[in-house]
Amino acid sequence: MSVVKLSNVEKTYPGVQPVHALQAVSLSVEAGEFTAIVGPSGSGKTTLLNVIGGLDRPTSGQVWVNNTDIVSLSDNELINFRLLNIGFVFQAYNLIPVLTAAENVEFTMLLQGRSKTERDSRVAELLGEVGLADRKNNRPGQLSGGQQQRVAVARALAPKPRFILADEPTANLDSASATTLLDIMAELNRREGITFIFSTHDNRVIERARRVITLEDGKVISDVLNSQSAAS
Amino acid sequence: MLIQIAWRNVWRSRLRSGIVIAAIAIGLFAGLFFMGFSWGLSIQRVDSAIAGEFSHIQVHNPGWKEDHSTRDTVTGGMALIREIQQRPSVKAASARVMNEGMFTTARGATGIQIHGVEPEEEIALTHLNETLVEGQYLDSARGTPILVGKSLAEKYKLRLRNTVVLTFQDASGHVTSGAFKVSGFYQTVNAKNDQSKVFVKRSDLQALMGMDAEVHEIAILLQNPDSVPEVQASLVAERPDLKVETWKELAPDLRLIVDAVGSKMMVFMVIILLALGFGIVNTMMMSVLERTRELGMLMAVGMNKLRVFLMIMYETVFLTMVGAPLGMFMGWVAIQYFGKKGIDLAAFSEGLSQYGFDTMIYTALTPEFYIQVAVMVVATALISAIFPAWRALRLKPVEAIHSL
Repeated sequence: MSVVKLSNVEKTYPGVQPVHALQAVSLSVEAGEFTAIVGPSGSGKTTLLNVIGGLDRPTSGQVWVNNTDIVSLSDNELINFRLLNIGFVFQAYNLIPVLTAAENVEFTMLLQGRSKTERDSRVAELLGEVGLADRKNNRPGQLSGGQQQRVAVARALAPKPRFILADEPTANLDSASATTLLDIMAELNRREGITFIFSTHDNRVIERARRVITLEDGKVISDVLNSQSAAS
Repeated sequence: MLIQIAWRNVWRSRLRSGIVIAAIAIGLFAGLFFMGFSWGLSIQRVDSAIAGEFSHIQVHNPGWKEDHSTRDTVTGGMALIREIQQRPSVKAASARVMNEGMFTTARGATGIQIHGVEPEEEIALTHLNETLVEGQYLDSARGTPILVGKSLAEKYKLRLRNTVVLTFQDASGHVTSGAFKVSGFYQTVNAKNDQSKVFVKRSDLQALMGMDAEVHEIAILLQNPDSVPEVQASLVAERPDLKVETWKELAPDLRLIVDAVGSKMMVFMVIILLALGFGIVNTMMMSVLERTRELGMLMAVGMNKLRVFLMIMYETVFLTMVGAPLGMFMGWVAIQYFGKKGIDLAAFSEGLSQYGFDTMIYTALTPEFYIQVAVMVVATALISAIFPAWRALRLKPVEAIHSL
């Protein structure tokens, strides 16, 4: 079952010299995939992720997420759709600096209106999952980059989304932190069937991905299954 | 959690928030203290004018207002004042004989207002005896005593027991004179009045003017200033042949002082709050702009626009509401303190007394003013919050997340 389906998606940034960030992109991502979108800088990886995540709208083409045509949704409907269906992990962690690790994880569940009991147990479960149960009362400024990114993963998972979009999640991490993070995500994918879609330059991510989609100049130039992946 | 995040966001930049909070607190303190000073000054002026000059209500013959003719007396004045003094709403009342004439001393002469008063009545009404700075009050002096303003006495180098001559028209229109012995010097906060007014016994003036038990003016002080319209109405109903006026009608300039000071104080506070409002907007704009990526992230993970708008509104309101009570409390404390201790403006005594103002100013402010200021502060906070919150709403998550 496809969780993401793109049909002939184009994205052009207007200007004196318009930039064609995505050109006739069509693809689908099935539930439970661990997929990397790769390509050189400016190839359209982040734009593709933004379009899939409903953060940006395509100039033309259609995007279905969980069988919903998200292009037709209004801004507020999109925000609500993201809240219920998509988890985000950003390159720069992007945690809320005034909240503790536990409160950051709890945040999206609060926006969903989940009960206190449910929130508390999910926060404990997720922080345990990413190995930060003992740091739950620390604010982002008191955590290392790798720890912050693990909190970001826990936050993305908290509302039980259909899939996680991760934009260069290991870009700012040292090798050990990146490995730990990838181990956690691979384990969640394997054990709970959570779909992960990465945009990345990082070979460590690419090696673990079961599917690698390569973009160049906004076009999909290859889409292959990675039989050597560690996640397989 | 929205409120919790907003509250913590206020304290992210402690120095910046601290400066804005201090500016709000100091601005409101200064504004309130100025209001307390202005209100205290004007209330004192009004109170002293009511106590010493106008009382709450005055009754005259309608013709008296036209040309102050000595023939325009209050018919049945003595019976009327006895009836007025019996009323429970009346604190004190005095019947006066008034005239204008020439005040002549060995060193010169000047025009003067002569107030013929009953000493006891005037003690109860205006506390005239308490204004004496030298000599004896009218009731304890022998002969035909006269009380002279200290500034007038200094001008003509008068001493106690000196004789002065008052020349004026009697009730039949003939010019007559009387010699009076200076029994005392009085001094009020109104130097101008002190130079133009002397007090003699009512019976002495009535005798010289050839009047029986007639009077020109009945001044009334009430137990409760709020009952002025009610008492005025009952007197008008009882004696439609007389002119019954309140202090506001007798002294429109005083009424103007009260009204103008109230408006002036509010304008001053609006200016302060306007300046503070711009400071708040500036601070919140800085806060929003430097958190562009964070706000974009919040919208990306599912925080809708209403919540983003509310969060910025809360932050602005918190920023204002921490400083405002502090400033209002400091203002209240200062007003209470100087309301008891007073602010000594003796250095400016000459200028102040020319306009009838006391040199010791006791700050005062009614609860209504505090409430009005509080409402204005809340309005300032909400209005100041709108622009930064609106700017936050205009952020596009995708652009905000990738901004530096």
